[in-house]
Amino acid sequence: MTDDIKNGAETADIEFRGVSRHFGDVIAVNNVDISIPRGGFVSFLGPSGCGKTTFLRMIAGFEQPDSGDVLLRGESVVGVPAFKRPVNMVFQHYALFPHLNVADNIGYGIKQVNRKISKKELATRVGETLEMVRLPGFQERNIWEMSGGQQQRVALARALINRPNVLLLDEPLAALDRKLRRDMQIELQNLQREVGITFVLVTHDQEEALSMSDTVCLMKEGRIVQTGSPQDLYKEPLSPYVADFVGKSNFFKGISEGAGAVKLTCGRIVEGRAPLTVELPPKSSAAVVCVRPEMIHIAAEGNKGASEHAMYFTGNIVNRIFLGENTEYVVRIDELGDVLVMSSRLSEASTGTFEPNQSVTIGWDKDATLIFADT
Amino acid sequence: MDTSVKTKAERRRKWTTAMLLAPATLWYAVLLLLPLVTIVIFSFGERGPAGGYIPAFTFDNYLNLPTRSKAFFNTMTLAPLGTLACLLIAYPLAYYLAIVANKKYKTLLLVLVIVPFWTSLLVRTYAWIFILGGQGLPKLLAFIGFEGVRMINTPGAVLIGIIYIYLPLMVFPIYVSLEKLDTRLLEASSDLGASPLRTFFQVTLPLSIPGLATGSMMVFILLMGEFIIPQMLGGGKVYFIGNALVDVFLQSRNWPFGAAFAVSLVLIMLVTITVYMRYMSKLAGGRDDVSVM
Repeated sequence: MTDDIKNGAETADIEFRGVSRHFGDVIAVNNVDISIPRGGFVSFLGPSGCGKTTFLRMIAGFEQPDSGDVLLRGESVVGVPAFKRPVNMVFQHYALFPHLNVADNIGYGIKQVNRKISKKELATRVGETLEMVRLPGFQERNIWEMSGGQQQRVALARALINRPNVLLLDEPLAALDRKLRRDMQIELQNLQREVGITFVLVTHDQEEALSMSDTVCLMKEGRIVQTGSPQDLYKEPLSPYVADFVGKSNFFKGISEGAGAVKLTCGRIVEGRAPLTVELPPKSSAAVVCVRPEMIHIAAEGNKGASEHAMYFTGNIVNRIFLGENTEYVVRIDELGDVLVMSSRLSEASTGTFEPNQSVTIGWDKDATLIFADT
Repeated sequence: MDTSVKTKAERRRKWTTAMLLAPATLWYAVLLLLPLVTIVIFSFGERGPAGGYIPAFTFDNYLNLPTRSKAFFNTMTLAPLGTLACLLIAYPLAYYLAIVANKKYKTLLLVLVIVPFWTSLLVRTYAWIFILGGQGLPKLLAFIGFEGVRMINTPGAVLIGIIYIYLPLMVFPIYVSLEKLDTRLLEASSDLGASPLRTFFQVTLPLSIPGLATGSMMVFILLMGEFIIPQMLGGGKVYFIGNALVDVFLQSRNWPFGAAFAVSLVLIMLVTITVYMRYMSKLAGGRDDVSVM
């Protein structure tokens, strides 16, 4: 089965057919089928060691698959070395050439492809590319004189100057501080729209993947476990693994009652729904119920609001984490254990804030409850 | 802040710095600068009737240097040639050790490069006399039909000895600079469309220039003063400035003439090294973060 990101796409930019790659006994990429259409921003998201970097390196040509076929624009590139592939990469720590200045780093790619290029044309192309990454006039700078963010832009310019079919980004923002990372996320998105080529990003940072890409592929142990838009991945996770990796989730175990209900271990019955394309676990089988912390309403005990929801419980606050725009509470509920609840500042305006040891009621709706088979 | 405490601390720091630098300064002043000045003064003097030095001021010693031009010629051809030969042989070896070799055997292979140092230089050079002498390689060559090949006491023999003795000194600095090389830079070069050969000339080689320059300098400087290898493998026919110095100072006891020799050797080295280092740091991209030595 091919995991088509968009149906009806013309020739895919990148296609993997049953690709596997082993390192000794470790399976880095396990029988992956995927087709990435032209012009999108695709992220491969997963914990370290899930095979996402190997996946990227196989597109770049630094690794060859043990089995299966890798196609770029419909042509198999198995055995084709990296320097003959029409893809370019932004490396994790940029890998800029320390012995060359900015202009020579950026012009490096052109000089390999077109050895007879005139100095004037080369300078024009380098200048244009520097403008594109918003570093005009930096030609003569040395690499070690630049900040991390500037080096990042040089790396981008260097990878884009040959106008590749695909730009590969290996954890490109990992070395930047939080503020700069935010800015670069927006810039990368704009840049992708501007140049119109396929961007393939590899990251372990879910925020990065969700904020930048049109499509996210979540990986686990060498396999792609879910492909979809960031909204899909967040709202309709196909498994507890996805719900856990993307965003935060509360999980409660129980036995399926069938028909969208689960009897929790404490005896209470919760109603919910299965994610869009997944079937509800059959009656009497083990089930997991997932509720996102921001979908849980919290109110002081006795106060209405929380208890108006389909499901509600009463417990004590054991921990409060102030995050700025939100506050996270850990609420100890006798029937459920510790439950993570997120309260926005807007809702705090009506409920007020809560102190540790305070008795509270938490509640959520049927729509906010996802039911999975417990495997 | 109390200023007296500050100045006290400052004074103590200066004192510590002075104490730390004292041994090296003393060493350079007494054992390098002082003898050097003495040699320069001697080089303008005259030989005494029974040898030694008589104070005078004459340029005769320098004007007489051309009578020994052979020594200058041998040193200034064989020293650069030996350095170049060491470089050409050491680079692939260092490259193999640093980049290609399996990590498991790396240490063992590195030890093998040092092992010759465990034996005396004299013994090793002596061994070459037998290998290159009449009963050695020439005899073997005669056996397979190449009669009358003379090896010992030729410039070739001296060159072989030089390469054999100095190779490790070249291998190690190059090895270190290649070992430090970030392999992602090689991948980046390949990713941008450079073939492995172009990657080597555009990335690997420029980034290993510090090691290459250090190795070349060490070998070249030592070779300029070399006298044992030409003595033993050149048999007095291929003699270096070093041999001439021994000869003039100890045999003829003409100290002023020897001093002129020594001064000119220092000047030649000063000029060649300066030019060479300028050129090398230019090749390394003019980076001031990389010291060439």
